Amino acid sequence: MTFALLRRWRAAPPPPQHPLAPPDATHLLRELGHHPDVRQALTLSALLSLISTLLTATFAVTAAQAIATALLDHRLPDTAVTLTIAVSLIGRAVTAALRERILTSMAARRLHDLRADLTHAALTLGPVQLSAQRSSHLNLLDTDLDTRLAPYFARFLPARWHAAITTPTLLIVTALLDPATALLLAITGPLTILFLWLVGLAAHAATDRQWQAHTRLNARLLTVTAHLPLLHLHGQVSTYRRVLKASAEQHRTLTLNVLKIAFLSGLVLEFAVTLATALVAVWIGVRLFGGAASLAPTLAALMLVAEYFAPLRQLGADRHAAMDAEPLAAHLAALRRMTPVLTGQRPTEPGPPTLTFRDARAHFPGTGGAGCSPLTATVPAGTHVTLRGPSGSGKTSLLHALRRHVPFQGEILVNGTPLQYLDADAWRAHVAFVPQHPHLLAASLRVNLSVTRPDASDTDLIDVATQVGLLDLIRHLPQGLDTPLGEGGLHLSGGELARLSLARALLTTPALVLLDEPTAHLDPETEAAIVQVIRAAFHSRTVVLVTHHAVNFSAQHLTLAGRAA
Amino acid sequence: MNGAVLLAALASLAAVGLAAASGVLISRAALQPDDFLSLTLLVTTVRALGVGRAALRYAERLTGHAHALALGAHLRLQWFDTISRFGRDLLSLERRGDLLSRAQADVDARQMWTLRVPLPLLSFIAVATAITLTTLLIDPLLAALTGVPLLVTAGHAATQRHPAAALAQDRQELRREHSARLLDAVAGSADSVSQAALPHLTALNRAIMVTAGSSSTLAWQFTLTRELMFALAVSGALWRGADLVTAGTLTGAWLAGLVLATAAAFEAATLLTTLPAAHAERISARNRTRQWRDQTPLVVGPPSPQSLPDGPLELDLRGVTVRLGERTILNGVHLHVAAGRCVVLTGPSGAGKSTLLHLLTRDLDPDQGEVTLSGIPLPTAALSDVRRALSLHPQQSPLLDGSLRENLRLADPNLTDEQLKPLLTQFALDHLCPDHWVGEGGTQLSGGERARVSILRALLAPSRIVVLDEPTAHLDPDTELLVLKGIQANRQGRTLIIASHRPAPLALADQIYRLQDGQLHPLPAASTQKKVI
Repeated sequence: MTFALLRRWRAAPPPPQHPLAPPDATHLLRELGHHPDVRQALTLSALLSLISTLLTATFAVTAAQAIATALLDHRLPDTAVTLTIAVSLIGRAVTAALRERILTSMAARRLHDLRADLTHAALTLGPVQLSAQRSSHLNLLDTDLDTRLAPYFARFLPARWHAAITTPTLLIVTALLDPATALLLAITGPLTILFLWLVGLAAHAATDRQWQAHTRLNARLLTVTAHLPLLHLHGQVSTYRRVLKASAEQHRTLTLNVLKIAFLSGLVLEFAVTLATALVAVWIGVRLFGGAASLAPTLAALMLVAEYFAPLRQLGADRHAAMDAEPLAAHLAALRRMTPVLTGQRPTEPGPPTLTFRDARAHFPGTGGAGCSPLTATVPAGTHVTLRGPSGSGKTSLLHALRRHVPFQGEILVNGTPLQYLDADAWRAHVAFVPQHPHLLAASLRVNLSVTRPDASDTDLIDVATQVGLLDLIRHLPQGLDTPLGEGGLHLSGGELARLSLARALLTTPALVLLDEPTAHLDPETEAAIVQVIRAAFHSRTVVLVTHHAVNFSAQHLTLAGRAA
Repeated sequence: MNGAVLLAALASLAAVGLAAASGVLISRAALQPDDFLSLTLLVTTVRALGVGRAALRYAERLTGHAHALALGAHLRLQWFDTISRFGRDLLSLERRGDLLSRAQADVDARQMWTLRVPLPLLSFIAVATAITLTTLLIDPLLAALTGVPLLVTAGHAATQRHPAAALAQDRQELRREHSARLLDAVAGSADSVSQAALPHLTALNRAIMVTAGSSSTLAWQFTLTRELMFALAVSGALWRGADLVTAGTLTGAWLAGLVLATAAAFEAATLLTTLPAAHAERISARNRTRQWRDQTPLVVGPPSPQSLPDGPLELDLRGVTVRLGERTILNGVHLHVAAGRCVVLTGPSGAGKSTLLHLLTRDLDPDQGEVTLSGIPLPTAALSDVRRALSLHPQQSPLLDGSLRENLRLADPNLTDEQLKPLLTQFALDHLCPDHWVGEGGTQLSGGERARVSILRALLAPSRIVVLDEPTAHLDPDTELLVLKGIQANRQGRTLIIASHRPAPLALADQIYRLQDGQLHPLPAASTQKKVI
């Protein structure tokens, strides 16, 4: 049985709505670098690279000269030579530190912007759109942003420039010193790059797979952790432990395969560098022995061989960083592309709105409006209506559409203006939503009440708590408003949660209130009391209450037809 | 792992050796010895070191990473074992997003430690020792001129240990906080939680940037020190070396080798930058894991459990009292449920119906009194036995992120699609195919659909007592009736315990209790309604 389960989970396809990495991740990653700040930092860094290369060349030439003088002429190098060596090396140190400073602070700024983007995108999309995305995905994106993208900005991008400047410059210098060595470098350099490119292609495909495995592994860990009570309930903990173990094993194998190839590029480079050094050294040795060359320029050339390959080696190491960053960039782009509801420009009029629906129903991209029934009705300003219909007929989805969290089909007019023309953020600020399952933060009761208005005073909070009938509870809690609440509302009953949710909505003084079955879990007496609270508290505001029960709430009932209709 | 460290040290030594050997080789060649054969040994050395270094580095990387990955898999399972000791109380201990980001980052920090700390450190020590000892054989001043800069470089990295560790820690905490808050805000954005979270998220993001800036300062300062020390060591070696050569103390051919080797030695110092932070991360990761390990779960099984008898089970609550904070939820409650009976609990919301059900599934133990199954107190039976004997539909209807089929197979792993189809029809879920992806926590389904899946799952489990918490709260009257019929049809004579404030489920009841003010009050069963179902 376990094996069947394992096979199924391994074979389980990602959900169809799941936005997978688009094909051209490299392009998307490059786009992240198109920014004036990045360009400026890269230009400065390139300039410093050039200075540093020239200083390195100066050092090599003078140092070789000094050695040759000591070895062949048995005399100490001139003060000028020694001074040049020291100055060029100190100059190199300063440029290197400057480069690092410019690049790392640019990366920090860029990541700040990207994280802000990500946050904005996630919050705009809201939970309905993101439900196809797994929260572990978002979590990974957010926590991995620095580790995966910072090396790309701070190292990979400048490393390309660095290589592009240093390599030809040093080749020219070497050619001036010792044409034979330069010829060898001119052949091995491009060959190395070719090898790197070939190995990189193979590693590239493997990295994508590895990222998927990594995400899935973490998704699984999150799922299994979040549902531990459920798994305990069905005695399935050990089964899922095996599943976890198997996917961890799979992840290990995949990663190791990626690394074998990725390190191969390192191996190629190391071989190229060390073999070139060895070849150059031996060849120079042979020519010196035959008297076909002189020591000073050839020694300088030998010293430059390591410097010639250093940027290529760096590029090879950082290429790995870029490959690491690509899937992340793709997912980031996918998230930004998902932004569902195009916001309009028009401001929202103050005061309770009149709502007009014409064949309106929520429309989920991908799945279509399957199951959602259309609504045609008018809700006059300041009136209270109930929205009813069979389970699954799209009542909740319609409320989300009204909140501009999901797109819709048909027409929804607000005071005669099509909903899609309104500025979405401004509109949302006018609308309060009371969900089926209010979300609790792992924080105090005060924080949980005031999430919709963090500046609310305790007097305000007590006031709304009194209106929704939570005052008794608060009085009985030893820590009062400071009592901590756990995730999922461990210590609050369903009724108390609904009251909490109503209190949150009350705090925002909204013009339109959308209530999604807030009383589903309440006994008839409490339900009646809560309905009274809603009627009194939201008096003269436009209110839409989704319910299954025949509650004494309003004169007007809107009805969504069943699936069959 | 020791293998990887050894390989790393050898690779670094080979790099320095290669530089030295090539310098010596061309100097010797420039002196034009009588025959080339005297150079052959040097030529071979240079080639061997060239190939050896690359091979050693590759071998080191593979061994090191293979070991780290195996360690990671092991740590992940270990973490799961620590966490899976907890039941429902887990959710009150930690935020979920937090829990995951910790697990992931902590496992990463611990598995990569050997690669990030001992490996570069030992390579550096090996190189520095080799250089210093070799130069000491030639001249003490020369040894000081090369050894001291290397030592200063290492010393600078060592002084950065504390600030770098603190920064790494800060940044990790901030990132974790940001990610946890973001998940919270997204999950709660339906009820306007997100707008309020934005200022805090923005502040956190700024703080992350500030710590990144401070890390950047540490990094460039280290680079500056390292490069300046490089300048000092190389020009020092050249100056003193040339002096020794002209004085005749040092063989001329060694000079170039000496200078090149000194330059190469600094390459091993490059990796010292990341060392302090990596070490700090591992320490805090281990401390966190330890904290979890030391935390005792709310409910634990007995060391030598009694086994539950086979066959139908009698359920008894004897004088059960539960207090949460200062609220007394249940006050000396007595209840007897004979095997195969159906009991419905009603009462105002917040009266403690769910709490009473949690006692049965042992998500909670009473403060006083006991709960027994056929006379065996629950705390003396194995947790897994109790959980197997009961199946529960919780009020929130939690679903696994997976397909509909997978969720139902959680209860009955051998369920086939043929068996599944009629069941879905009975519960008005026939518009969903078994492959239907339910979304994270079931969010792709409506509230009513989710509840029906959860009820069906509770019924499918091979339990002896079925516990349903508010089975029909989200359903319209027609569907409600259908679901009640479905429950009756799949109950198969098992004991049924339902908590409901809705009147319809009362029709199933053999016995009805009203829970109010911490007490159970029996009500007459509505036998007349029974015919409807």
